[in-house]
Amino acid sequence: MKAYSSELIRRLESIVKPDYVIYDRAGMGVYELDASDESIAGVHTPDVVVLPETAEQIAAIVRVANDLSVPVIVRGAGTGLAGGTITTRGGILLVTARMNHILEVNETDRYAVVEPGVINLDLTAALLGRGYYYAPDPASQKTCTIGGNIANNSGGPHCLKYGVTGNHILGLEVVLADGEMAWFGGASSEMPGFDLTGVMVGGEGTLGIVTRAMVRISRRPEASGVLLAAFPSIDSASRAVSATIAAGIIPASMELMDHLTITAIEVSAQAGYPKDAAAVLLIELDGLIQTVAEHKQIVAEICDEYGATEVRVAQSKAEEDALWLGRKSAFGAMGRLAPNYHLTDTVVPRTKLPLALERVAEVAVEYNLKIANVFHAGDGNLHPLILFDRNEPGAMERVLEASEVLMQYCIDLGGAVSGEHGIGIEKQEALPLMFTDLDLEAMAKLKRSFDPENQLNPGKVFPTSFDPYQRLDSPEKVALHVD
Amino acid sequence: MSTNALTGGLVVDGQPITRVEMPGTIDELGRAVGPDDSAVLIAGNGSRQSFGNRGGPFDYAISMRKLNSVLHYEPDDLTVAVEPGITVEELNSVLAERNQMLPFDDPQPDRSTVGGTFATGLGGPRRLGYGSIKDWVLGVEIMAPDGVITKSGGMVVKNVTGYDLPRLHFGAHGAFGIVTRLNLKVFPQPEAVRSIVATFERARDAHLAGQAVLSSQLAPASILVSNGEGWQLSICCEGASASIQRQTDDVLQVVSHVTQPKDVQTTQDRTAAMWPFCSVAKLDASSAVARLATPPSGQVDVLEQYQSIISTSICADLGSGLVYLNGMPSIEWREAISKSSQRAVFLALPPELKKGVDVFGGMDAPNSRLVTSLKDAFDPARRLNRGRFVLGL
Repeated sequence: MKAYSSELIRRLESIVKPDYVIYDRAGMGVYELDASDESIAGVHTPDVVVLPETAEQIAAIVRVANDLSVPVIVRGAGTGLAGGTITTRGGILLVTARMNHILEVNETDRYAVVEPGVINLDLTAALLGRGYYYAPDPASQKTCTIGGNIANNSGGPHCLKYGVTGNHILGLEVVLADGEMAWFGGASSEMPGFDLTGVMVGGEGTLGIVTRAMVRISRRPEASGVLLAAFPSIDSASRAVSATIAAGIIPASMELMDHLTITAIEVSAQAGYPKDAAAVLLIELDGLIQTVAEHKQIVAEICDEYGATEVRVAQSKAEEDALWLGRKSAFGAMGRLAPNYHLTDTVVPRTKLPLALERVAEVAVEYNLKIANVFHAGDGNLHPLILFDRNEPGAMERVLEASEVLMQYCIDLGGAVSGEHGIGIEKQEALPLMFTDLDLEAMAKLKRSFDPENQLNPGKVFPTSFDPYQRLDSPEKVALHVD
Repeated sequence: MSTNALTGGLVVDGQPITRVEMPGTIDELGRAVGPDDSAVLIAGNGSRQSFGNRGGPFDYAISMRKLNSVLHYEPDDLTVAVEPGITVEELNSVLAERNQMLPFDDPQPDRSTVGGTFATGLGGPRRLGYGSIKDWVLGVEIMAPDGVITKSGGMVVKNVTGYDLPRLHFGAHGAFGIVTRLNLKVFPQPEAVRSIVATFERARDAHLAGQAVLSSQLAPASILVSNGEGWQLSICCEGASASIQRQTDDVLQVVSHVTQPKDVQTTQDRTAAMWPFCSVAKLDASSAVARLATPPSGQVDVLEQYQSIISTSICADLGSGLVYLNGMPSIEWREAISKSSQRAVFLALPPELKKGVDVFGGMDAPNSRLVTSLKDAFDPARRLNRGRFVLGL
């Protein structure tokens, strides 16, 4: 027990009911990990876990943390893949699970106001009967929270047409690092002043704590259509993706699955995907009835032109759901192929997909690993799943090395370190692959402005070799720039 | 407009700035910014200098107009990288060669630069169909007041690598740095476009008809209600040829179902549908233009209130939740707007009317502290566009 612990717990118990302040080892066990890879994130126990119910309680907790110089780490459902909620330096783990209320739905002005612990899919379910939905749909949408989506600027299959979380957040109520509450943005698209809402999104809990979010709700399109196209090679499938976009058609989503993934899906979920295909593309179109009908035909023709051996067009909602079932069960199905997998979330300009996928295949051979591909092809957002057995000596090291080689290659192609999963601790050391110390210093200025005492989720996002609180001297920076 | 429009000097809020640097390369820009502590006004082509607080005094100005290259255009990726001084019209003519576009909806596309549009955050009514300008920005490069250039974001449509600094600079009027490169997502041009303009007797009828279209599944690109001869509901439909006629017919049916309009005009381009916005939100140094942050449910009250109190051209943008007002510049007009319960920003006011006013409408205490500490971090000597941003920063 640290010196401050008894006072910390006493003061937290004066803010929320003692039932919601957890500090015994057994009770905190579930909060030591999130969905990131344990061998990267490690196991870290918070000093205390607290489950507040209101924004005012969060503000009070942050003020206590300030008094006692304890870090505050916010956690939603713990589905994050980058270790963003791991308490590497101990501290107060603030869990938003009890703040799960949809506070307002306004159809006329097309927004909803939600608490951060609302489950992503619960919001869409609540809107279903009204003909609206919440567009961002990460794969974990049955369990992940909107607060977590905001922290990571999460994506999902339908980002291709509808954009990532940041494009759907209108305003935020935030508890700042000093325990003050602020409101950014609002129901109008461009509020007076500047866009601090957009700055907060993707901040991974390092800039402030979201206590309430005003999110855009979207009208359901009048028609949709789903196609499944089988290809003789992963290369031809990825070329069909580029050709579709180049033809001026932006599908709602374009998901690519390779042979290994199809095998896993068919063993576990029996979605009826063509088992001998080297790759399948799952394409969803939506919009006006006539547009969808015409685009379905054009996309089918493009797939033919790029060598598709079979194109299936769903004829009913039930058939659409059946085609999606395979994609949705893909990650779970990997267990049929290997005991463990490591997912590398990276992104390239979509015309570079054939090159990137070729490199994935080469790396699999070089490192003697099986790599399955199932990803958001329309966005150029790769998710190579490196399959391995954690108990095999040296396997994890080989996996991580292969993952880094792939990441570097994607960046060389003009891509990025992370497309939608965030940096957290998993990818913090990879930031210098994209950004110089000067670039990082600009981000550090933002961090210091929001959180001058490094109280909020410290030790995340920035590489460990770069201390965001150690200012770079200006003249040296200029010298560096000239070099 | 030639690239030399500003060489004769610039007048900002009545203050003449005789020395205007027009760097043609990033190195020249770096030298123009210089290492000293002088106060520098950053301009594009000068078309939106009416927007901002009375700042200065300025030692000199830098126009970004000659930094106007397309740096990288990858049509098949739907991405383009540009220097900030390219005008909206120049960029769109490059994109048009590949049947692509950016829906800026600028009232003065031949004058407004892309950098200036980003820095002032002034988008148009097709936000409804295509999202806000800030949603198209994939990455930026920024020159700090010490000449250091940093990059953030990237050239890909999905990217969560590090903080979203492009959002910090959007609408920040250059307060935190000078944009030197913008990476943008572009859109395929629609196959077909229709403008539908329906005229009504009463503001309320026009607006209710607009709301009915907004909540339908007809997905128009923009919906405006404005005053003129009666009240006009102006709708832009854009999309595939296969659906445009049906979409137009159904929009008209939804409209008529609410109230039968006095008159309906349909044209096959977007000029008529954009006109109310382009005429009301056109900025110059002698005009008085305000923008209220008012979601659709509050817009009818605003339309009726300002129509009856003072003679003003009004344009409500239903899809963006904004109302634009263009009136005769006077203290009375300014005060009537400022007193509104809606949050108002003045996009243009004559210099004498800006005295003692924060044209951005100010900020509450926590936001003020944040924006001030951001300014201290990014421009500690207050060199860039001194005094022109919110709170006079």
